[in-house]
Amino acid sequence: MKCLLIAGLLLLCSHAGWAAAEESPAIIDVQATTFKVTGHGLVLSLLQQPTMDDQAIFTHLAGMVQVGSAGLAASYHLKALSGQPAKAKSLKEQPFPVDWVRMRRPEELCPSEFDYKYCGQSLTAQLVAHQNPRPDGMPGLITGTFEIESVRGDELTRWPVSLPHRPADGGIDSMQWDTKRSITPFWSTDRRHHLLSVLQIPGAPGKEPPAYYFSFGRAIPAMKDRPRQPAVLSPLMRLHALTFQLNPVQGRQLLSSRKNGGDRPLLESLLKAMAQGTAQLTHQAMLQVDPAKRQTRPWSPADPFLAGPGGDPSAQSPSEPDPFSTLSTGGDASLAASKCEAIREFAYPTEFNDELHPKSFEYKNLGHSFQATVLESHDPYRIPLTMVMEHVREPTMKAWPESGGERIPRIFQPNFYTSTVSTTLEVSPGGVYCLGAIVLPDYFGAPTSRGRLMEISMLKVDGESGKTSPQTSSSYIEIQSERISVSEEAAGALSYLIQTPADAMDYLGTELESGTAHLLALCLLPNPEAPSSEISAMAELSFPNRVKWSNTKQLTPFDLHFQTAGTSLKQSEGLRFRHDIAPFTDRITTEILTEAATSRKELDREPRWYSWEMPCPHEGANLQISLPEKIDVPAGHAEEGRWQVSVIRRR
Amino acid sequence: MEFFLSGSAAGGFYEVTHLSMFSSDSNSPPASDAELLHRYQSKPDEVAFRRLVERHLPLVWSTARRLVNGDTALAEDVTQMVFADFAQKAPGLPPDSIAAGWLHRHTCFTARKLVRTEVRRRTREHTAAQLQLDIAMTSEDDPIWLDAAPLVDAALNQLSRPDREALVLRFWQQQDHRSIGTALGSTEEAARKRIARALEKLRTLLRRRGVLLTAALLSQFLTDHATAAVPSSFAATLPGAAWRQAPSGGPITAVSCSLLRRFWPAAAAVLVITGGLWTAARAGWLSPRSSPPGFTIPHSSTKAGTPASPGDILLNFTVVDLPAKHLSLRLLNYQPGEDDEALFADAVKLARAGGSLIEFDLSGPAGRQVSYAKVRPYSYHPQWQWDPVTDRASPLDKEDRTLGTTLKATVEKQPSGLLQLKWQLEHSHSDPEFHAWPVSLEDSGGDPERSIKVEDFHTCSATGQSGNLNPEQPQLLMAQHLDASVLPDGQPEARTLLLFVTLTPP
Repeated sequence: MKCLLIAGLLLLCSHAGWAAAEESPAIIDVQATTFKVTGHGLVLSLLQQPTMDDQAIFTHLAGMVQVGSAGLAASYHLKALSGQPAKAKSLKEQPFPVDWVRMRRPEELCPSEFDYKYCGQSLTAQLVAHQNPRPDGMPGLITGTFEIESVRGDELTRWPVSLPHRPADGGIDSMQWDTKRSITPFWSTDRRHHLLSVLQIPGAPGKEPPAYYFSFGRAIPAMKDRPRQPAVLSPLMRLHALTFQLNPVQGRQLLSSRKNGGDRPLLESLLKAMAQGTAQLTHQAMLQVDPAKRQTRPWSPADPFLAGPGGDPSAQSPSEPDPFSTLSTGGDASLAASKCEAIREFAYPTEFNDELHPKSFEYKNLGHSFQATVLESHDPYRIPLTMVMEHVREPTMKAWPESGGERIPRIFQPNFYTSTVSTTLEVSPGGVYCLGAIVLPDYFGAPTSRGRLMEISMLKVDGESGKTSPQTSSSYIEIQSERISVSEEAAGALSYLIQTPADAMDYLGTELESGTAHLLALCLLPNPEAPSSEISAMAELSFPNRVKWSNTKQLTPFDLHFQTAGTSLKQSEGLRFRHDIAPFTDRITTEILTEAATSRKELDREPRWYSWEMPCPHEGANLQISLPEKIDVPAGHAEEGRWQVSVIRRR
Repeated sequence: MEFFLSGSAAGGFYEVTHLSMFSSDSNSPPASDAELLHRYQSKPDEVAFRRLVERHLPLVWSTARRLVNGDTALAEDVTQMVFADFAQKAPGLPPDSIAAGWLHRHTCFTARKLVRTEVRRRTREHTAAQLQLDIAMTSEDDPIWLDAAPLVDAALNQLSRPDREALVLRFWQQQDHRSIGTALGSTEEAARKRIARALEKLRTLLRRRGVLLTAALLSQFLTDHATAAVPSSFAATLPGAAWRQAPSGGPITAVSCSLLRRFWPAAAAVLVITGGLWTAARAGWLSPRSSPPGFTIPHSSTKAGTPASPGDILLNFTVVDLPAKHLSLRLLNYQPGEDDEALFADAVKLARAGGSLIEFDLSGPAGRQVSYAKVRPYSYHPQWQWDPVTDRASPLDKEDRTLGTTLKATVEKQPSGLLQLKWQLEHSHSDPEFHAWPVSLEDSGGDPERSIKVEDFHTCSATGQSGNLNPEQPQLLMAQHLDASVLPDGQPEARTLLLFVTLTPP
């Protein structure tokens, strides 16, 4: 009798399929979780142990939440039909003023119109349960995408406003929003949690450690009593993008000591310098990409500096297909591009009334973003990836007029600072790559006590070990371009040594180490010939183009402009290296404003910059050193009386 | 001389069968609650019990009526049950108990319990009435009181016992300060101060729920509205009926059941929502600023509670809102499909203890979308102008939107015979804590009274699908962790929002 029952049961199972006796495999249980943890510890562990089990990290973080050493930033549970999106949102529509009207009292300004901004958290998951993709015949594979977003708007920015006849400036409140977003592919054959992305929110150096947001996804076919399956390593690649900040001389030495065969030693040196306190990890992001989903052509974000110095920063690159559109093939869903970003929408005034009170605000995205797009390739072991890293720093405040002595009305404007690395590399799981290096201009961001700084961006690729190939020499070139400030004596010596470039480089190295020479600019960019390749550190500096006398007999700056200046090496109708030094040689004083207002002339504020077309060194000529030239700066400038040489190296 | 009435149930209606007369010395003051309670506790003294019922009937009835959204019939049921419980439990109450305090708290508990349990039972029997019934407070009520009324009792229950009892004696029992002082074992002056402080605390609790009242106005409202007139027929029959529930009273009758049977069909469906929302209004993210009065139900989108046809599938949705500390770790380790029933039971238990809970019952045939909507129009002012005459900002144009809850669901039968559910939930409300934007540019912020106040709106929406629905077994459809980015300002504690469904097949 028992045998008959068992046989009947087996017959039923074989007839209806493993999953269909009671349940449908088309429903997927979806879980997404984001943890917040402070300090670098876990991220560094992850870098050093690429095979660390995601589930173990999840369990570790859940344990940290339990004891209060980590926080739960987001958690979602949903059920979704295979191929259909599952969405969960909890939103707060937050009012913020977009227009103001004057009141009778000069120290008052009335918000006259409010707009609403969506803040909150959301998850969108689109997953597909594949019926029978595994060799063992067990339906278990789930692929798809996770998009996790969090927007917070619980902080106000108080924008300074000049108050006539008051002992101090006042302020006007505007909202600022912080967004964390990641869009990543997903692949799983088991019931485990999989790490989707890691985002860093920088802390205050020396005061507050950075915070890291670890996002996990889990998807399980809704089949009760489903046997636990052994974990299968995901074919997705995991990209770690890191930016280190360090002293330029130290950074130049590390870059000079690189050898063929990969940049793992460079990463190890940077991590070691970080442990010793001579380097800082200023940005870290981790993303997954699906090597099987490839974009047919590269895609680049808007390029605010395409128009060149003094150009319109709002100029956009030609429109190209958005890689974040979901690729759909028979209900399948995946992305050619992955992205994570932690940005703050920063409000700043763009129009002022006669009292120099702000009339309207615009928003600028500050923070970090990292995007990776997989390109087509026939080589299964080398995956071409276009990567874009962008960092927009906290702005500094500029007051116009700059000085006046008396408490005269002033307007306050932000100066923005943006670093960008964009390049295309062929990567393999297990490889470590230098994405670029740049010396930040001395007017870049808030002054630091550490002087001029260099940033080195690195990429570490983790992935399926079976596809790891030994890293061989790259098929693309790498350009390192430098401008070095030297003394007049050194310039004379270099004029002789330039015939033997190796000797000239040794001499320059000695001068740099002794401190008698210093780096004005340095850019290192791999594969600079790829479309949209660029490394840059650019400042958007605000200034009023004109001033006028107001009805209340006040000098009123108006016609506000942003001008860009900085250092860049980019592919734009030929390889172009640009370095702007010492913009705005004169201060805008009340006298200058008065003269401009009276003469009804525009202010001549063009920055001094150096820019030249730089062809790649031809094959076999891997080092070029220019003749020294005198630096053309106004009297009193720190570079007055000094000379510069440019050095271009090709690898 | 006081008269007492008693009666009996006959065919669902009451008739007066007995008129008794209780004589007392007209020169001596009437017996206090404590004395009557003591007499009743000492022996089964019907006269003392009847006198307690008579004295506290307005308190219990008006509280019950508020909690069942003005439904007189259901309020009578609740009142009946409360006094029946009182008859049974009074002998065991501590000697220092204040009857009014105990009765108010028990009324709140009983009203919620009745709404929740009986509505579910009735709905499952497919006898729920049309949802379109929108029982609201009477139109002559003050609109501010309409906002406050559903929240007052919940807020009162958050006060400490002495504060609560002081307010109940003052406003529900309309006692003077001297009597309250005596009842509380203190002086008249101490009672006066306690009432003032308790009133301020109640005002603060109501403000957090979006009801802005001055202390004087709140005091006036409570004086005017806390107790309402009890229908005379009900007042006549209740004491006797309740007495029969006493341990040593007359024969126990099925009064409450008959009342339920009499009034239930008309009220059941509405109470699914209103009772749930009121429960939700106790605390937390789900709290609507203004509760059911004022809600309107779009006719076209309302299917909930429609008397089910024999082939209809019944879906019971339960939304639970809890402090995140209760279940967040458990949800991290959640194993789909394995522990939904236990999770549901725990979530509901926790919601009753300190969260909030909403239930929706939808029914319809497979393959057709059923939906529930309980939304209300809401006006807000995104535009302001400066009035040069008054030198103040004033709202200019208003804009309209809707707030409330909508849920759409479709059950589809798969070729295999399995049922698959597609659902979409949206819940929105306004934040009672307005954003105040200062007009002054000075860092001191100037005069706070001259600021502009604009409200937030909160929306939770989710879309999903589910299958493998086992009949009568709750299944978790969604869980979300809500942090400060979406919670009302000033609410520091993260919360968890869960959505369950329980399916009953035809």
